Amino acid sequence: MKKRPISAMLLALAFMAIRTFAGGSPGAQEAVSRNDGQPDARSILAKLESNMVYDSIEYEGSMEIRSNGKIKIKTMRTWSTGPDRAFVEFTNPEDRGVRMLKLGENLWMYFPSERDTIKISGHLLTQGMMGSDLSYAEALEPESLSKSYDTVWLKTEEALGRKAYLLELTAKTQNAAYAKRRLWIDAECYVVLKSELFAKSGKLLKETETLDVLKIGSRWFPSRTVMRDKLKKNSETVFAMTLLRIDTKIDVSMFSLQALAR
Amino acid sequence: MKSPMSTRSDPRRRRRPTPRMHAPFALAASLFMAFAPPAFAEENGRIAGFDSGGAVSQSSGIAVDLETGAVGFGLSSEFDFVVDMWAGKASARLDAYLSTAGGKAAEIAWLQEGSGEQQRFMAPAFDNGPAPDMLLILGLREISIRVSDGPIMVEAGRIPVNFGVGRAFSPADIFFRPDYSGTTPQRQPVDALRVALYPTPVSSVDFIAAPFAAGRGKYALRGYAFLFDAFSVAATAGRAVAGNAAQAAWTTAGELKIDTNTASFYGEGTWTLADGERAADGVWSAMAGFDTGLGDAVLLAEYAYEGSLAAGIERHRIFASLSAPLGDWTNAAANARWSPDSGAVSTGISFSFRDVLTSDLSVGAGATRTATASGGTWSLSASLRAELAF
Repeated sequence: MKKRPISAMLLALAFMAIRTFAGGSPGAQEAVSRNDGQPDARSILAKLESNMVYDSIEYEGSMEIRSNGKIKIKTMRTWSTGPDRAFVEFTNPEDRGVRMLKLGENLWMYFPSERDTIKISGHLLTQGMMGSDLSYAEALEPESLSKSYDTVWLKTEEALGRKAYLLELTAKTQNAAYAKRRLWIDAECYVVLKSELFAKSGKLLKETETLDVLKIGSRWFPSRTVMRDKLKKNSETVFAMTLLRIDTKIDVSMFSLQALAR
Repeated sequence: MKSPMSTRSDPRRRRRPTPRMHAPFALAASLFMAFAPPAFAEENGRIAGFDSGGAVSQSSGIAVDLETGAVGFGLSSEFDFVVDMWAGKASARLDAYLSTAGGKAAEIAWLQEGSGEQQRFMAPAFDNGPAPDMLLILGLREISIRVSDGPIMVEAGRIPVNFGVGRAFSPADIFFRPDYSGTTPQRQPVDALRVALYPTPVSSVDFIAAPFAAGRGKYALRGYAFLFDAFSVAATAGRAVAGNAAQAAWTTAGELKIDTNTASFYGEGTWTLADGERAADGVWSAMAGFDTGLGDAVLLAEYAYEGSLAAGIERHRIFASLSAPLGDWTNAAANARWSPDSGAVSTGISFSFRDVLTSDLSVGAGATRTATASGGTWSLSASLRAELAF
């Protein structure tokens, strides 16, 4: 089976930085140099994305939404195959049984108490997913970063105590969730250490950091990340993934309206 | 009216209260719930077993009749319990509640009991007399069993039937029985058998048989599809048997919803013809609505029409709601419903506060104009509700 990048929903959770890991992919440094000796932005981005290529992924996770001194924790199970299909089921008491289905650029939510399925579209896409700092639009970003953005390397510097490539990404499609992104990518492990997300006006909208990573095979995967909405005061959401399994067999029938209402 | 920042706050969600479970379905579903084996095999990423949860809520309110000056106080408590079970290709769901109501809340529940619309699983028998001081009610919001095999799903029990695209009005849903008593319109579930076929991930064909629906058996076949990343379309053929002083009738219906980057537009149209009548005697119904964002707020508005050219009857209704977050933990919502023909008006506003001392609080106020022979009377109400989920 052809390997495909995982869902943008998971990529969005993964675009953050590392503090607590050591080691990396051997020989990674050579793969990203241009003829003039400077790092090649496209190669770096390609390695970042190839780091996250799986047939499928399945995990239990949580969203810890912190705002003005209050904390709300939502837990969920997630299944995804490729960039176009993801299924999330919430398990915390307030949202137990609420499900989300992503098929391509479409997103549906299912509410068990009313057995009602609604499509999240238009103006609702800009709202925070389940009250978090991650918007529905971010969860739906359709293509890989390399397809949606032009990329340039700005410099190599230290970020969160690690040597990192700083890349600037400029949107080349309207489907991109942000006009511009800055990514600090770990020079050894090719994980996003931190990122800044900008509006067309240049205003900083959000920033992310990876707090923890998991090693899966020879690759590193961000397992705990924080996203801060810079338009809100004292607001951040920590995403965590546990019991993560990759390349498991997931029945494609799971990614359907039928499965939402099962 | 709520906002989509939380799963419990989406204005486009349909809400529903509780009718009575018809005995055969209740028995079948109860047996399954009691004897279904708690298997623990993995199936489609789902470990078989069961899950449970619920909520405890406490509500109090006051109502004033502006014509008579009468003031009523009410207090109610509710314990809501939900169990989901699944084993192999079968699953079951029980959503039951136990509530106590006193004062004005008991009066309202008593009137609902008498109307036959709000049926309970266990409640005092309605006797047309004054409401008891205190009511104890055991209700079933849902009890159902489901078996899925490939693209086919069969379900029996008390189930929600969410045909149609309208929120406040839905003529295309022949099972639609609205309850407008809350800040958001509610749909009541139906005791029915449902057979669904899912030809593709985003289409379905549903057949629903509800022989005991509100005293008048109803049957419907509906096809639904989501097309071109923007259009939801559906067509329904329905049959209502004679009952409740109504003739048997056929209904055909169409639905369309269009999602754009800034708003969703939707509508329904139906034509109903009673047995033995001429085509010209058919009754037309239609609704049109939209929802859109105004900054962080969500505005939803709907208009419904019902009329018969032959009988010269026309009825118009309008509904609108506005919901907006007032912060990460607070939400405000307001709505209004108006029937120009009768002059009936209902308005409400509510504020909800999440995570206040571990509970969710909501405060609401409303004004209602009830149409009467002499023109109409106004009443005011206010309520406070706290809910703790577990």
